[in-house]
Amino acid sequence: MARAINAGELTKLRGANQASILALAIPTPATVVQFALGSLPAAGNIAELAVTVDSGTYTNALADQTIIVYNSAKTAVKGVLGVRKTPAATALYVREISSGSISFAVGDKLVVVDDFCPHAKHVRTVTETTWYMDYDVAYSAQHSNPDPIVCMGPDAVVYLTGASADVDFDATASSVIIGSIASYAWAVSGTGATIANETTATPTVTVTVAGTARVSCTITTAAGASFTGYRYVYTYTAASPPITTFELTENPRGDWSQGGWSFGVTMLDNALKTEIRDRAKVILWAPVESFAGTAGSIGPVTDRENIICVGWIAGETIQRDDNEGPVSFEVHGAQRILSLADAYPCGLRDTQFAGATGTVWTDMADLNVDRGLWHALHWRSTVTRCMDVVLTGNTWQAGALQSTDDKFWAQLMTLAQATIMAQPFVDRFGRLYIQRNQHHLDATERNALPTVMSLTTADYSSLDIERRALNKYSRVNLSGVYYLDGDEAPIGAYSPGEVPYIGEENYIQTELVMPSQVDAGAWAGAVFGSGAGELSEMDVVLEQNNRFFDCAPQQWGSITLAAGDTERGVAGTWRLIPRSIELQFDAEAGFMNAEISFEPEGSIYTYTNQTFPGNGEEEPGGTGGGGQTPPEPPTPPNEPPPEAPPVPGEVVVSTAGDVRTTGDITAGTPAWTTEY
Amino acid sequence: MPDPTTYGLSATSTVSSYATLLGVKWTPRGEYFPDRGRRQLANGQMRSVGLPWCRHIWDVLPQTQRDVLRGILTATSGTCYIWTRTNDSTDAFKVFTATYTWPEGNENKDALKRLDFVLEFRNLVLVT
Repeated sequence: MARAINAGELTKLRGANQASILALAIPTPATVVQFALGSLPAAGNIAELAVTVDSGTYTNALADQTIIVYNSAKTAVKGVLGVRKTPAATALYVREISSGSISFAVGDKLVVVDDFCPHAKHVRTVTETTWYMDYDVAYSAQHSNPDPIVCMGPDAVVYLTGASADVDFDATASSVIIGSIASYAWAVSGTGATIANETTATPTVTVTVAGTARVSCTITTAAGASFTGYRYVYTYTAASPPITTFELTENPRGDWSQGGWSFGVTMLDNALKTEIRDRAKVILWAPVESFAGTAGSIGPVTDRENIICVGWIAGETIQRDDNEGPVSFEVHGAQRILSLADAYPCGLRDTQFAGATGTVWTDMADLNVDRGLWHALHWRSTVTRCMDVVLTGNTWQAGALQSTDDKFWAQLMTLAQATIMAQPFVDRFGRLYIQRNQHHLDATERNALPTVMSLTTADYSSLDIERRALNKYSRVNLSGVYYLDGDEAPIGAYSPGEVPYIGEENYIQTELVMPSQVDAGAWAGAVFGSGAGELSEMDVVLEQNNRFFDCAPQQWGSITLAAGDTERGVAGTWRLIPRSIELQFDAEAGFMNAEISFEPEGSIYTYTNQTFPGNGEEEPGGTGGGGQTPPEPPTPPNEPPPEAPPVPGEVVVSTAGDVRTTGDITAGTPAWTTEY
Repeated sequence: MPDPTTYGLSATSTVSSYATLLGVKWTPRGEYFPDRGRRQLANGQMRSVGLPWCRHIWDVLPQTQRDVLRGILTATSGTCYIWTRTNDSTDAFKVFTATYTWPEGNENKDALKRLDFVLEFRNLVLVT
């Protein structure tokens, strides 16, 4: 969760001589075990390779670690694979690939390195009813006794100037979609690294020498399910310094609409080919910072204050010039890698939904968006292994969820956005948040969010305000299915009412996962309000090294303007939603400042319920009107005919073995069509 | 580390005065800048930004003394320690860590001397 800037931090941000010296951490992961390919795999899909151990201990290889495939002389990289499960002495279990994707030869070296990277895991279908996750994981009770989500905080980077340094970890944001967490077990491996309080949620790792320490956290639920996450502490010293000879060709920038952060780098030397490879982890950080002569960094996450942006080198962006020496590349958060990752269609249904058995990978009890997202993230990707994941917290049940997008990030977008209008975002520390649009929250939910900072004229040099000449929406119409334990009903709401305002767009979204009628109406009113305020955007250039704002987790800024503050006399107090942040670095001055684009908070407008044929005027839970119930407006003589109530949209479910659709989900016995 | 009372330089935290390194007569003059720039705020005030920086300037520096400096500052740019004079009320000398930059391009040579030889030190962080 975001937090408010405290008084001491505010004094520093408003003080003189703020300065930063930047560095890059591009870790070269250690070799865990090296295999040699013993025989060529058969044509077709490959999930296992016959190998012999060259060096190292094969049982030390961990599921989801990276495998780099070299030729026998190790002079060329042929490809990158993932460890599917702990290897045997003569068998390396790899994440399933097509045999044509890597040109294997007997004697190739397969090197398991101490590195985890987010990528998709595949589904194997043997028959219509027999599915396996990650090639050979059969369904037992993974959905009824789910693994926990391990949120252990971001990686850390230490510039060690004394004998030792402590790094706090915090797993209190961990969760489980059913049940509760019973225990924590932390461990650390790496020269000179130790850990204290390792059975609590908040241990401390101590490092004493330069190098890499791997930190693991195993969380066990009350029902006995467990899962282990991994993070790293990278330690540098004056004798083992980080990379400082580089230029930022693109400032770090996070954008809500892009799903995360990115930045660009040109390395002037030290550009070793072993370091600058596709999907190498890169951490932009500040080993030296100061505020008014006092050394130290400030930021929202304890012991990660010096981190500016975390990501991976994105494929096809490395530009190497062998004549000149420099190498340029782009670094993106996990959203980029996951946008490129192929994914198998994902579908789930509630166990009380027609045809569900509760004993297959496609069924889940009390299905809701968070549970569907957890299934995708945990069983169809390695994200939960190496990243913190915070889900929406939304509990509205859904009869069925599905996404047929062919890329993993697109599937997440569909599962979140097409259902409850939520969106995934990877923050600058590499944590994945999936959260509803902040505009769409109700008043209680909004007030529970922290205000990071109230901006004053002592904070910024320029403020650009965009006034709204015309409402973004003339009317908002949300509709979908209210579902609870097998019962379902169509729900819909208009805002501000059936009669539209003057606006740019008549916004209609159907097939949503709907709450009660009252909540659905408030939701429609909030969506309308997001495009109806006096101001649509505020762009602020903060003249301070302020890295507290991000597009996720949800948070507010605030600002108060007097009529005399602007030439147009705009006056008032607004809560502000950060939508894009650029950390501008002036290398000549050694100064980093933030330029932030905010959206002012929208009000929650009136609404009216939408009626559907056969289900009466009012539907579950609502009388309409919300907090600002308007009188029913008279129908203008020239009003266009009311829009026909939408038929509850086509529903698609993925059953055990096929994908089916129906257009009459509200019927007692829907007619299903098998799509494939 | 003794309190500095003159300009000095070292690759390590044990700083030597230029008088020791180069001889008494080759002590440079210095310039000290408390920030790298100023930003105007919406309230009308200015905010200084960036770390202090300084320059050590020799109008004339013999080749042998220049080579002593090059033996300490071996790269185009890197980290070092310096003694330099600040702008405070006593114009005190203080010890800083700094990022040095060796002069770019052609050095102004004249009869086994360097003319107008300037070392620039950025990112000054106070040590003592």
